Amino acid sequence: MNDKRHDGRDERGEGAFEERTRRAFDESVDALDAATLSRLNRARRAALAGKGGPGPVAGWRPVATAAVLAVLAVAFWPRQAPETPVAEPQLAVAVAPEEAEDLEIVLQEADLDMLAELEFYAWMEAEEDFRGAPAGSGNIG
Amino acid sequence: MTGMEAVARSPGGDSHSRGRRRSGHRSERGVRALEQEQRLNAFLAGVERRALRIAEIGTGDRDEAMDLVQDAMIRLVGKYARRPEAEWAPLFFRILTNRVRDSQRRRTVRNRVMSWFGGDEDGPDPVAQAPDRSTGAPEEELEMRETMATLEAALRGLPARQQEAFMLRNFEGLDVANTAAAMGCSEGSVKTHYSRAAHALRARLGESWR
Repeated sequence: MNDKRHDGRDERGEGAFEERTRRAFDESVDALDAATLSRLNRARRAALAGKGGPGPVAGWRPVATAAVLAVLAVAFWPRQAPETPVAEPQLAVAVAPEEAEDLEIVLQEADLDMLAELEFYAWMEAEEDFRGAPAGSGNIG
Repeated sequence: MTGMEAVARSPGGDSHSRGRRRSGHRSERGVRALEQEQRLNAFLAGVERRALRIAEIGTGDRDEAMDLVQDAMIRLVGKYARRPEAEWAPLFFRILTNRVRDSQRRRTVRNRVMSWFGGDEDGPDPVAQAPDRSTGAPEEELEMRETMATLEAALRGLPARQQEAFMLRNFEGLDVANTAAAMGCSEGSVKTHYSRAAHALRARLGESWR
């Protein structure tokens, strides 16, 4: 902040008048009493403590939550029917609980911070793709 | 590996891995949030005293100025904390300037209404306003107070935009671009307001200030 102040001052190429008015102002700032400084300190801490209040992020979280749940439902739900054939019971056992667990995590934790981490879901999706064939064959083998 | 082993190991291992990844995300986010809070705290601590004095000159009342500064802090932290740090100063002073303007309008209306009913204007109490800090020689302090009181009176006589331009540029040290952002006007307007303010102040304060 101080650098910015000095930059601004240099840029103005000001004279003695501006210098004098600023000095008077700075002296009045330095002369603020302890009670006022304490009030400022408390005001700042209160503002920072209230940081968790509704902000711009809060507005899109319900939408993001609904969108993520919808994507998960679409991604997981239809695949269960063809991927749980009677002939491959072990594959069904290996896959279905994980998917159920994933949905359970999302539904039960209701952790909005986690839902905001789209990167986590991208990873989870990649993990799912990676796991698909080898995991199934491994289970069968 | 038997089917049972696969069932037992695969979900468990993945769950642990996922858990670690998720907790890693959380702790990383927690560290980032803490760092941001520290930067915000440092920023606000760096501007709060000058902001209070600027608001006090604008409103003529320290208690009201304190409320406006706190309001601006809350607004900045709640709404704009995620914006780049370089934008905090113009954003903070834009919020504060708007609050001061609203306060000035309310005061004008209140004074007008009071004058209709024959009441005297609700000006600030100079005794209550006087700082009670008592460091330095009494003569120097008295001179400093008188000097600042004269300057404040001259500043209060300026149109609001000139007052803002002069205080943001000269007292807070914002550059033209950031002052324009704080005032919500063009850089050309800032230069015009500032130049007129300086000219008017020189004329009002007299030869001794030049």
